[in-house]
Amino acid sequence: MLKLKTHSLSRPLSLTMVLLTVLALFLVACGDNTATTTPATTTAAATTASGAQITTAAGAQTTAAAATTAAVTGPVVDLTVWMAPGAPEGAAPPADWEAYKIIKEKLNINLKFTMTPVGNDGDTKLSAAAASNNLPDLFQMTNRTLFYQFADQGLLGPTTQLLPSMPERSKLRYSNDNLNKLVTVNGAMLGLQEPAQLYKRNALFIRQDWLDKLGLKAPTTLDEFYEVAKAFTEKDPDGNGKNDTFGFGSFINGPNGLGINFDFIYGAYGLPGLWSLSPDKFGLAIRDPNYQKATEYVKKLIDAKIVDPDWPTLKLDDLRSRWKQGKYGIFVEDFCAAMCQANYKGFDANNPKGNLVILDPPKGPDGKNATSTFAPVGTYYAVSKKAIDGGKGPAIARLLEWANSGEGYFLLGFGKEGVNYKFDATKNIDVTGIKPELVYSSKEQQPILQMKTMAYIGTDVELRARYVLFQTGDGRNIDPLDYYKKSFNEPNLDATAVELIKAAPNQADISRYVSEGLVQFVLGQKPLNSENWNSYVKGLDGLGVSDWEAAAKKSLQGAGFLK
Amino acid sequence: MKRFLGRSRDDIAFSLVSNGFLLFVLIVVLVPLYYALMVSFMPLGYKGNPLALSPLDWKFEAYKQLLGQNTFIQAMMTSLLITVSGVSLNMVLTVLMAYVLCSRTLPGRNIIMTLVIFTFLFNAGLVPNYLLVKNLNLINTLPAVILPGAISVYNLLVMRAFFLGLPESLSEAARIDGANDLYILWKIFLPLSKPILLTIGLFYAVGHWNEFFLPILYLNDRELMPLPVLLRNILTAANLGEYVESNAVSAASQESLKMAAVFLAMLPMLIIYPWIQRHFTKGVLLGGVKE
Amino acid sequence: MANSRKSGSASVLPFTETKVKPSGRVNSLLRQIWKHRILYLMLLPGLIYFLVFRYGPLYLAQIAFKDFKPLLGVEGSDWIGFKNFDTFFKSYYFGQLISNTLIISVAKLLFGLPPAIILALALHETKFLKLGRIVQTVSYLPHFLSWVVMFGIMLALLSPNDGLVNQTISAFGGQKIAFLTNVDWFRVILVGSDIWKETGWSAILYLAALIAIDPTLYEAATVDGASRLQRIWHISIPGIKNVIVLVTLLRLGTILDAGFGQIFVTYSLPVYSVSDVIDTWVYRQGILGFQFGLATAVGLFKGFIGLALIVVANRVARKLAGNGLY
Repeated sequence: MLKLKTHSLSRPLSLTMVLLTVLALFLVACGDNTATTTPATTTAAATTASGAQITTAAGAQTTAAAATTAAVTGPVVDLTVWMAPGAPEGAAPPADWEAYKIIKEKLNINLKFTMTPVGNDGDTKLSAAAASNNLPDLFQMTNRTLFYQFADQGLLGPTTQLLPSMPERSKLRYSNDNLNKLVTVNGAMLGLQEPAQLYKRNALFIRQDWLDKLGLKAPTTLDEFYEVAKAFTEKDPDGNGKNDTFGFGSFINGPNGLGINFDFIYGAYGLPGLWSLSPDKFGLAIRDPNYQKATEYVKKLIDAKIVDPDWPTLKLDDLRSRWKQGKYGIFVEDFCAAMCQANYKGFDANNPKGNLVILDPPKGPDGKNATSTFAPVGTYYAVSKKAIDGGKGPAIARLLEWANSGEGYFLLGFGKEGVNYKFDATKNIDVTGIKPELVYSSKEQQPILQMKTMAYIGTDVELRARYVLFQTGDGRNIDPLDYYKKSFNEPNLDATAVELIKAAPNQADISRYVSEGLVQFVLGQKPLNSENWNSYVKGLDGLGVSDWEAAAKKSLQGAGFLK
Repeated sequence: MKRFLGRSRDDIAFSLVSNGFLLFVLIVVLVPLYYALMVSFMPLGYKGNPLALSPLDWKFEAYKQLLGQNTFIQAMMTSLLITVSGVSLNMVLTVLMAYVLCSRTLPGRNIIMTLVIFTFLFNAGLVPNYLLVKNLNLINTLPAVILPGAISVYNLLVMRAFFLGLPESLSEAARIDGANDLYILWKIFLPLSKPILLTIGLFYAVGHWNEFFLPILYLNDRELMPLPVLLRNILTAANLGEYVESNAVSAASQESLKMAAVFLAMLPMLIIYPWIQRHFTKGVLLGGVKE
Repeated sequence: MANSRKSGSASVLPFTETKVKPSGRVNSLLRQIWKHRILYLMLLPGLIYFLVFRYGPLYLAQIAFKDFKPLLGVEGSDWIGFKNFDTFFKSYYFGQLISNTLIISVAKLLFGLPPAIILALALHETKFLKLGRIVQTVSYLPHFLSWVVMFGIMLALLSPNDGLVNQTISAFGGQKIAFLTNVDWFRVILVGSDIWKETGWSAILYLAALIAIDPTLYEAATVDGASRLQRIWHISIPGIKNVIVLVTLLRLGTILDAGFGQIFVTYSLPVYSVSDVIDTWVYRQGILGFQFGLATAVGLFKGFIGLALIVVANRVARKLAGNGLY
């Protein structure tokens, strides 16, 4: 009986096993092949790229060839580029992407482009590569802490020498001293700081339709804000007969304090952000007595239950789904996350009569107000030391200059003229008559625009093309750029200098201490009185915060941001 | 003993309790799952409770949108390739090693066992592992996500424990007949170990199928990215203010997309498991008559 | 089955146990090795794997004792002794991190084990095969939900405002509870959601072991008039005792892993004081802060604690249960 069993069972099992093993071996062999670097086809003709010089991206016409003036000769250079993709959910550019061909033919560069994962995953990937001295040649960074760490470790190459080889791009983007300071470490420029294409994007949004329904005016002071938010919570502004709305929706956005979504309250006391940047009182803002008052106001809102009680646990996308469902009367949001068509659509479907307008940040007792802080800085690039040592500097400059204007700019930013877009009489980007699935902004075309941030600079033509007009379900016209202009003109505190502050050695503990204490106060886990507040502020000493503040002050003074 | 319809009262009470427990588990697990499924079917603009969503209102836009991505099929194939080749490598190595570690006479067996358990306790962490993969020149190749986990110590020890539980008389008899170890493993041990082989195979398969961190870390080309990475990108894309610029209007809400992605990723496991289950019960029947 | 192993105490290869003269010890060892040549051959692939992919990284983990500089490489970086460990031990929240880790981890172990075993037993015992199959398939599904998704579901169920649980509580006149931000409740939620997610999955292993039990044992017991509970107690439990001991021992070895993926997604500032664990701290300070020496040092520290625990527990298990890990 035993034998019978053995046979009947082992036959199919053994067969699958053998098959699977063969497959595994085959696969390993396959993988090894891909590991070898693609051979550089040096025979590819290094064509002389000559053509009209283009001064600005906006005025450029399509017939222009690459902006490089000199003939590119010599062997083809392999260049690895890591960038956050234009659309992380989309596919990578196809192997036969037009831009790859042109970059190879005209710039003599064999481009190997990798889309880095967004958020912390991307930082982890970059860190791991850095730790093994395996950074790509050119890469985009978003995490200032990592940048300074890489710089301290000597992993980044100097970028000053690249500037002369990309005159137009340097003139347009890298000629602001204050911005360049942000990528300068010990006197050496170790990155390419892009100016922000758009900044001050976040604004306070309020439901105008709710105000109208309840016969209220937009609040201008913190006191009025409280009353309006209370009415939004308790007076059924959406008229559905259910008690399911909140005056203010928020979450802990960012590692500092209660996060930037509560900044407008601290702004009303003149203290938005983590740092107090005035020369005489430089240091953590929580040391300022007014910080306690602002925190008391936050507590007042929370005690009155007019802030969605889920706020401490919510994430950004939870907040977004809730204001789209019509639960919140007031919230902080990125102008495009609220008012661009793809994002607005969810709100529109739930709230056909909904009307979002931007609210001026309410004023505090001394008449101060600010939505938040801002820094007019965009993304930035770094070049690995390996790449500079390996003589790849000129090729990197060539690529960046090409992406700055003319052919490269439009190809990376909008695809192919006549195929993905057209120019209208006023030289604006136009898509009338182009098949929907070929339009540059469609889902189908995401792969060919994955490198668009390398090109974008924020000209009017570009913004018009990126932020398109649309109509709501009930026929109202919405122009996202109108909202941006309004958001831009709201009071916000310039915190460019903060970008220069390096993380403390025990940054995780400090961040936790500061934020956790504030949350405990506003939730009432710890009574908010002077005694507790003073011991909370005093507790900073136990974490060596003074040393961090001193170091921060020194680096800001060194860069001339603080007198 | 009092009997009712041929069964003792104890028996009935036991049956009530144990089957009642199964029903309880069923409900406790199903309600949240059903909730998630309904969220994936929710039409845009639906404001009510997902649990109350009527089948007439079910919308499959989220699934259409996910499956419509041209990268989806490719990612799924990559995942399949990683899973199939990974599991076959896992099983061969694990079974061989587990068998050898059952030996009570092999010189050096204790040292090897200690070495194995030691690695279970000490994990070198992110950077040393990355450095190793880089030194082996495996960055940006599929083996980088398969080889480092070729044997799970946990599964290895479970396998070994199972082998140790098999009656020794069987292998001894074969050995006296002149059979070598490979033959004994193949013809005697493996056929008796079907449930555990399937279980461990499933453990490995699920591990490979769900893995997203190693691919993110070690792979650069999007063509090599498996499904979980793609799903994660879809999920996180919505979370970053910088990436909300798309003009591509979605007919499904973000929550529906999320949940649809989850159920699509679960699907292969949903298909595989009943097949495994069949062998689970078969193993019992083969051994004799159940009760 | 367990009996047969104990009685066959001699060896797999009884005839190799012959005594040899002291002078021929080296020779005899060589002969032994030659006799086992097929076993060694079978061992080879696994051994190579362990040496390369497990001990390779462990060798590189020397960065825990170094001021690691990527440009200098692992070997070229300077030794700094236990400074990285010191940073961890002297960090502001060290005591709290350790106690949170242990409390959460031990609670998951203690409260997670019985449901899995009971589920496996119930599945094994049921005569309604359809029900058994459905429960089995359904109960293991939550394992596939990532914690990010789980968080979404938890929020929908537990939100103090419109969560299902709280709506039910207030419908019965109770006070609403902010489960996810309440320091008294949060650990309960962590352990409970972990049980919900993993019980069905863990039960698979026990079920596989139950199925392997010789059915004739049950038949004999039935003939002897044993009740079903008695059969479970005297046949089923002893039959899967090995697996239970093994799983528990292994879990003890990693007792300082409290479940990073889960906690990282679900915790928030109001409950840091009861849920910030070693791994979440290391992630914030070590990985995101580019302090890999520190991260590696903490990893080794966890390993040492695990080693100590497993050695002790293995002794205890051998004494009490008659078998251990090795």
